[in-house]
Amino acid sequence: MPRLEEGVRRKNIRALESCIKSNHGLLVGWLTKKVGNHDDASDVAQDVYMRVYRFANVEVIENPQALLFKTAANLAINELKRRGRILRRHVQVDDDSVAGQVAELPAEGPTPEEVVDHKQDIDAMKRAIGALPEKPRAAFIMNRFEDKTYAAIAVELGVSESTVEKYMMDALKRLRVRLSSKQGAAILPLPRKGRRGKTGKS
Amino acid sequence: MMAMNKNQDREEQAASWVVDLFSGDNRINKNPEREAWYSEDARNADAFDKLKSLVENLDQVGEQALQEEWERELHAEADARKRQRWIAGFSSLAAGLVVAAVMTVSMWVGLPEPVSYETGKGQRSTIALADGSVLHLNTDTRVTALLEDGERHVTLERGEAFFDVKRDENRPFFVKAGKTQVRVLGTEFNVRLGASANIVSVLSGLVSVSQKSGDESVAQEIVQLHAGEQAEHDTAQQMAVVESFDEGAVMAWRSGKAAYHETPLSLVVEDLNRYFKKPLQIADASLADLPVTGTFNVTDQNVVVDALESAFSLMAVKRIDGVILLYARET
Repeated sequence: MPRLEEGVRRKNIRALESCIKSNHGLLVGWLTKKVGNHDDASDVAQDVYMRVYRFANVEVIENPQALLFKTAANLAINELKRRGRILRRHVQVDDDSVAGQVAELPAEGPTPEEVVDHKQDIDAMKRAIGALPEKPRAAFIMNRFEDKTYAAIAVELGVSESTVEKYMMDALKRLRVRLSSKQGAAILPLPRKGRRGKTGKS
Repeated sequence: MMAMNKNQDREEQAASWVVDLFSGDNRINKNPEREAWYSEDARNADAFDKLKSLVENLDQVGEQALQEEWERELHAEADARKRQRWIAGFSSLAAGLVVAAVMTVSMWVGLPEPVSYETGKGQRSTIALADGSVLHLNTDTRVTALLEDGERHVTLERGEAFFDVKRDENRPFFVKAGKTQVRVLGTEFNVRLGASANIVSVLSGLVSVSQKSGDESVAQEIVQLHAGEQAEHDTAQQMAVVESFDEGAVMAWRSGKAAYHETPLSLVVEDLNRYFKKPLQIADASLADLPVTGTFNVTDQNVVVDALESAFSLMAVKRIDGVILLYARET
């Protein structure tokens, strides 16, 4: 592993240390909200610090706070995924019999064109979500990716449930406008495991 | 033209039914109205399915979207802390100055954003909110206020506060204190966060006290309080004891006093310690139930200790760590 010149490395570490010091309380507080208790939050925070330290030995860090937050967000997601608390749809298989799993497999691999298209779709989707106004975006992400009910989101955002519904409505309409303009491309289901499927006609 | 409106309506309806489907509320996961609309017209079903699969398709960028959102959250919190430190610098000044500073901040920021106010031990403070409501904070108290267009929210995070809420029919005012939620339109009431129960005391108007249990259900109304009524809301038991209350005693803190009537010394000490950096402690267990009646000026701890000593035959001894031990005086 390449190492940085000693002076640069020290400067790196010093900047990181002072950044950790001033953000430790904030990070543990935020992690406690995400992982549910202070002890686990402290563990995750320690893990974050260890990783950024290792990184600081080999790379110049331009913005220590941004790196710290990126790592914290990433490890918090990993921790909740490990517990199966979030993003469950991504691994959940409706039918877990062997036949069901075989049925989930695509008949053929994607063609190179499809791979390129897919990558563009992915970017478009990310940008569409990122471009939502703050409150609708927060509500949408909590509902879809953190599996939170509108009631829970209402508590977290400090608004009524009907306001959460308004945010969701707003988010959905904006996403529809942005993503269905490219006729069909972005809404073509892609081969992947475990799409949670309940239709309105259940 | 007509057909176009119909289609717009259909798209609008589809969106609203997809929102309904995603509520996460099992009661409406099967919604007969939605199902009827769905099977009524193939175009309805098509609009619904298209939007639903568009949204579900976004699950594949869920992790990245969540990562970005959480980073944004952290950066926002870091920025908010910087702002708060700036506001906190003013809180040690006179209340009037705090009000002026906070108003300047909210005018300067423009958008509704949560703002926090805090008092230390022994401090009191008065805050004028932008909607005309006034908050009085007792000792060691922290509140966060968020005034939105349709709703006003204040969270009592610690301590005790008196709310003089400006009446606005179109903008209900919510106070959250632990698991206790209070909803009013315009009233005067006091809320105190306690270890086992939160206490809501109403001076005027009507106050609805409810509780959110866990994160799934809507707030359950526990009780409605009228002027002169007080609820001791035990959130663990999800119940409240409603009584009339002594307005003088509950509101004494507004003038820097604490009033007790036949209150056991143990509770008096616990209550007084909210105000003092150097806590009182009962050293003789036999004193715990000693009934205390009287009004104390809590702005000066020495005066309080002197009064306790002379009126209740106690002896106060200061321990090396500053704790003031109360002994029964040998007679």
